[in-house]
Parts: sequence; structure tokens; C-alpha cells
Amino acid sequence: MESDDFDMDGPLDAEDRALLDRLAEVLAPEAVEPPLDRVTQLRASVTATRRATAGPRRSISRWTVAAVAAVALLGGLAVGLAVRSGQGSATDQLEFEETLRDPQGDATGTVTGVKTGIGRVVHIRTDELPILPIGEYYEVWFVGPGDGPTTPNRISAGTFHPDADGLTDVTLAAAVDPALYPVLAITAEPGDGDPSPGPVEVLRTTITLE
Amino acid sequence: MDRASPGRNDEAERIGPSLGDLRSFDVEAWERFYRDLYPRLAAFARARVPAPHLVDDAISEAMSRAMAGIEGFSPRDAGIDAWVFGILRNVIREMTRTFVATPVEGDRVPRQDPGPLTRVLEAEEGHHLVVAFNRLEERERELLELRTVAGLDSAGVGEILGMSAGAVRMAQRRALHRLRTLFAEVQGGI
Repeated sequence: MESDDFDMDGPLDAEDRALLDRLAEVLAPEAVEPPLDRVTQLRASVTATRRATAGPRRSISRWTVAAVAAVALLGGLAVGLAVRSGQGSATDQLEFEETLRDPQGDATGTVTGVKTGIGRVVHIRTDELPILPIGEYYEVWFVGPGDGPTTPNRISAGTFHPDADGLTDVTLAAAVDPALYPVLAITAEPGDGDPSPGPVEVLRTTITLE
Repeated sequence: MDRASPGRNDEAERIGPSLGDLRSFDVEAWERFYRDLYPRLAAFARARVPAPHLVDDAISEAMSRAMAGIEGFSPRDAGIDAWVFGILRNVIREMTRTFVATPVEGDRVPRQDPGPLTRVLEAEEGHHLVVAFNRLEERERELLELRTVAGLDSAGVGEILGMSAGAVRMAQRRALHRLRTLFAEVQGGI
């Protein structure tokens, strides 16, 4: 065991020990949680770094890893700094946190939205989406009232595909206002260049703003 | 358990994710690691950043550098907590060099932390101890904060400050002696 009670002259005396312990009490850190947007950014950075280093074990330049991590993490910081550069008029805040459900109604993932100066950062996490054939992908939609096959009322928030392990841990930036488009849906897209939503909806949730 | 000197056994028990999980960039492992360290990192940073809103920026930058350097990190006596605190310390020093602020006499950002002070102010003796602590030299305060707030042992503190563990213990002894003197002065109304 580390002998921190000892120095070169012998044991830490009782008076020193008591003072050190009392100091630890008065300076004790609060049991605070990190801000949600920072957690989201960290997760995005880890995911981006893992993907950059995926594949056969090889010597990856430390600076490559640093660059990927920095871009992913500090890209979020740039958002935060941009918010602050607005002279403190806005702060990142959790906008929504929902469970994604498949067509059978089973809970299969989560989605969170953090409002920022550029709109919102949307984080989707699920282990349930199958890996699609090459060229196909999943697309995220914010869906408004009255949306239908012949009367579309939805806006795309981006595309993604699961990683090689079938894990989806995606962070997207979206300017869409969920108050106007309160349903988030994920479709499987055939990759045919047609911007309209594909016929297969895999996940959906209704957004309730915090 | 002596909180001022947790030792590596406590670190091993506290950190669920293994070094392997961190090196394989397991998202859950990194989030747990971040959440576990955050209160101590925030308390340490809050005492040192040139402006309060930079606390989370400093921590995020430290985590980014830890992620970049995790492949090269080797478990030594000091442990991974000390390594991250060392990174954070460097980030804050860089930040301080480039940040231009208008110094205000007596306006010390370090003691704006409302959490501990709110508790302390309810106990006069604790308040006097904080006042006395603030009168220590910066290096003395840093050493004692790394031991108490960061919860590092002497080896960990030594790695960050570039001292042997034995030298840390000697410096700690001197700092505590000086703190005791200052404390008596504060309590005596000096």
C-alpha cells in the first residue's frame, strides 16, 4: 500500500493527518454531472476515433487519432464557443430525450436532442438496426402533421449506417424545429438517388419537448 | 478510507472500464471514465482557469488529449487518474497564457465554487481554513489540491509536478505546517 502516511523522517504526525483530512472535507468536490452536450460530444469523439482506427491492427499515427478526436470533440466545442460568442444569449440545453420503437412497438433505441446555437445536436443510439447492403443506408426524418405518400411533410436530418459490429451511435446536426415536426422517423433507403423517403420505416418516436 | 490518499487500489476499484476498453474506444467505457473523473476535474479546473466559463472547455480538451494519447499510456505507479490530471494541468496553463483578462484585486476565481463554500460558510472553522488555504503559495495550494481534491497519492502528485514521491511528502509536510500557521492567524483575526 502506498505509504503516504510516511515521509523520509517517519510517519505523518496525527496533527498533519487531521489537517489534511479536514482540508479534504472543506475542498471536497461537488457530486456534479458533466453537461449533457459535453457527454454527447465525448461519445461522438470516441465513436469517430474508433472508426478511424478500425480494421487490422496497424500502427496508427498518434497525430491521426488526435486529429480525429479533436475534430469530433472540438467541433462540438466550436458550437459551444459560437453560442458563447453570442454574448451569452443562449446555452446548450436538453431539448428532448425519447425511446425509438420499431413497427411492433418494441423499444429498440434512444434519441436525444440538445439545443445549440446552430439548431440542435441529435444523438441516436441503437443496437437493433441490421447492417444494410452496400449502397443502402438509413435516413433520419423530422415528420410534420399530415405527412403521407402523396402529401409529404418531412425534412431529412441526415443519413447513416451501423458500424461493422451492428452498433449505431450517431450524432447529427439538425436545424429542423421539432415543435413543427414532432415525429422522428428512420427509414431504410435503397440508395437510388431518389430524395423521397423509402417505403420501409424501421424506427419512430414522437418528440415531447423538455 | 482516507480520501486524501486513495492509492491505486481505490482507483482500480473505482474505474469499471479497463485500460483495454479505453484503448479500444469503447463508448460506454469512455463515458463512465469521464463521469467518474468529472467532479474532481471540475473542482481542480475551477480553481485555476482564467474565467469560470472555461472549466468545461478545459476538461473537454483534456479528455480529447487523453483519447489521443491512450495508446501510448503505460500504467505506472501514478495511475491513469494522475495522468489525466497532468494533462488538464497543462491545458489550463496553456489556456492561462493565451487568455487576456482584467485582473481584479482580491477577485480570485478559484474560490467562486459555490458548492464547497456554501457548506463551509455554515461552519466558521471551515471557512477560516479555506481563507488560510488561499493564502498559501500557488505551488503549495496546487500540491495540496492534487492530494485532496484530485485524490492522488504522492506518486501521482509527483508525476504531475516533476517530483519524487518522497519530495512530495516533504513538500506536503512543509505546506501543512505553513497552513497551520496561516490558519491560526486567520482565526486570530489577522
